[in-house]
Amino acid sequence: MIELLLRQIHFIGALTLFVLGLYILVANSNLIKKVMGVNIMNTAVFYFFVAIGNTPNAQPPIYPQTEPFANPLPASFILTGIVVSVSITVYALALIMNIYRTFGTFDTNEITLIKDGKEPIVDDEHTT
Amino acid sequence: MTNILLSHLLLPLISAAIFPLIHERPRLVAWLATLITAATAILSAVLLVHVTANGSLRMVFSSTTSAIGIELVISSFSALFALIITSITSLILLFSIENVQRDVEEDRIARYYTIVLVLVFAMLVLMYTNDLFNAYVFMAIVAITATALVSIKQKKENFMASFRYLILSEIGSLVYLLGVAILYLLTGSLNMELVHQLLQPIAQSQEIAIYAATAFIVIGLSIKAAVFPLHIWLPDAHASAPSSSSALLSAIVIKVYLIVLIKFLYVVLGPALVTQLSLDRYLLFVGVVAMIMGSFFAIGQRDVKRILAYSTVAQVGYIIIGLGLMTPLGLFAAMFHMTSHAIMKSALFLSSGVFIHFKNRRRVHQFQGLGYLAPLSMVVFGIASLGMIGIPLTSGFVAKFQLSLGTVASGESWIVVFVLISSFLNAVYYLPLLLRAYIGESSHHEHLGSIKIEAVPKTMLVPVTILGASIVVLGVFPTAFFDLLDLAVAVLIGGM
Repeated sequence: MIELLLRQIHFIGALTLFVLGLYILVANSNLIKKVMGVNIMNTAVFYFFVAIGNTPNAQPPIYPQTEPFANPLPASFILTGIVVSVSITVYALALIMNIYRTFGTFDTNEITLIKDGKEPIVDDEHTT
Repeated sequence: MTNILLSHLLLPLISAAIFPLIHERPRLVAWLATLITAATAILSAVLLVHVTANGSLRMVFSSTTSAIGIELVISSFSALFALIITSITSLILLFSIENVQRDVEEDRIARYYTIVLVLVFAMLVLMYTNDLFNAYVFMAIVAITATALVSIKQKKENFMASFRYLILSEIGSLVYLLGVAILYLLTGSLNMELVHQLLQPIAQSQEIAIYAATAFIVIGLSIKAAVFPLHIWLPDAHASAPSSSSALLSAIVIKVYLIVLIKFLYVVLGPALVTQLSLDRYLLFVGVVAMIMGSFFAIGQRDVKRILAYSTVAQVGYIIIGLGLMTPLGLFAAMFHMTSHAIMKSALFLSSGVFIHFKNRRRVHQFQGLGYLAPLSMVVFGIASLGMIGIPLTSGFVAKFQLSLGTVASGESWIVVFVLISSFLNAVYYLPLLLRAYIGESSHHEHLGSIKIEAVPKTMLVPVTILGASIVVLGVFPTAFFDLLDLAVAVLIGGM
């Protein structure tokens, strides 16, 4: 049992991290913490992907090479994945900046309160 | 042909890079964006003709073999949907030329079109891609650009709506990527067709792992395609966006994710494996719930764009049912409904965009007398909402009829009852709008003799009219389009 767990330690770690990130995302009302939660989920998936490429006792995949060598593809996928994750984070933070300028708070509960104090559609309000 | 394919993909991307340089001339940028998207549509038509005659076109990037590199497959399925998407997008962009200043500040207009063209590029690649990881990357591009189309309107509710949209799409992407990782663990490949072949021998022994991967991927795509319980981001995002963005998001972007779902179900898994995992039952159930609940939520809304947004949730339900049947007939109905919904929903959003632009009316009670104030747009709005209800002579009727035929042929005739109930619910929220516009107590009746076409720019009326006309054309003469769809279905069911 322990041996099985140890063999799968990367996958268990990745899934734990994923659930942790999801928990942070759902349980916090602070927008920045939500973005952090998403980043942790990102890391979890990347960890999972890199763990797939791992081969026991493997050499780095540099030519000329003897078997066994580690699978280089997952690492290159994850490089792309990191770029995607960074751009999403940057955009989310820019949005949070704008939200803070409009509402003066990072807290979703307070934002909901501020929005509920008014009509749902503010801009095009023209009753005939 | 490779040149045509490359120019067709790079045209929107390169022009998106040029637009920021000429941002001081927003009208020029707007016209250029429209023309470039139209040119892309023409090139997709050329590709479609070529592919129909000569069979699928394949192209491998970043490696010499499709096992490692990224493969694009231009089949009669992907080329057909690329054509549909680009042509409807170019109509929406034509509409936006005059309309976009209303919601987007002058110095942001060039950015708006940059974003739209990057979105077009990403959607085209998503149509063609045959690689699971490549699909993830381009879904992320679609997510960012689609969200930016909402947040470009600098209003309070837009920021929160787009934040929620962004975070939920990112969760969808991650869940999808986790599923892809499991598939990669099982097969060691990311090429969709290769994964399909490699899954066959281990379909029995690794059923649980395949099940987990499928669950992750389907749920991830469901979040992005707003399949019912996961649709919570959609109403705010689609209702608060500028009119042309709403049309793009609701009519086109949702469909792109559904096409990735189709590819996953039919290319990666294949009907046999889907049935083995009993995923088809799940999709049917979710589809039925979505089409009933989406309509229920729409009934309670007071704002026309929110009604349309919730109606999208319901219509996605129909498409999911068509996919869940896992028969050629069901897939055919789903694809027809995707096309018909793309046309009808963009017609609805654009004509309501005319009402908002022209008379600043978007509440249901403000529709009083609009049939006389804005006769042309209201006629199109009427045709499209009758299509949504499923009245004969519109494409919506053909779609629902094909779907009912498909369900009966697969022995799932109980779904027909729900399709009828959902049509009735559609009537409950679309008909009051039409009745108010034409019949409700109004002082406009005496002006019947002097009705004038609404005084909005021609570039707004032309796309609205074309979309309205194509709803009727597709409803009355669907056979030519049926032939194209038959080819697309044959490509998917027979392997890509």
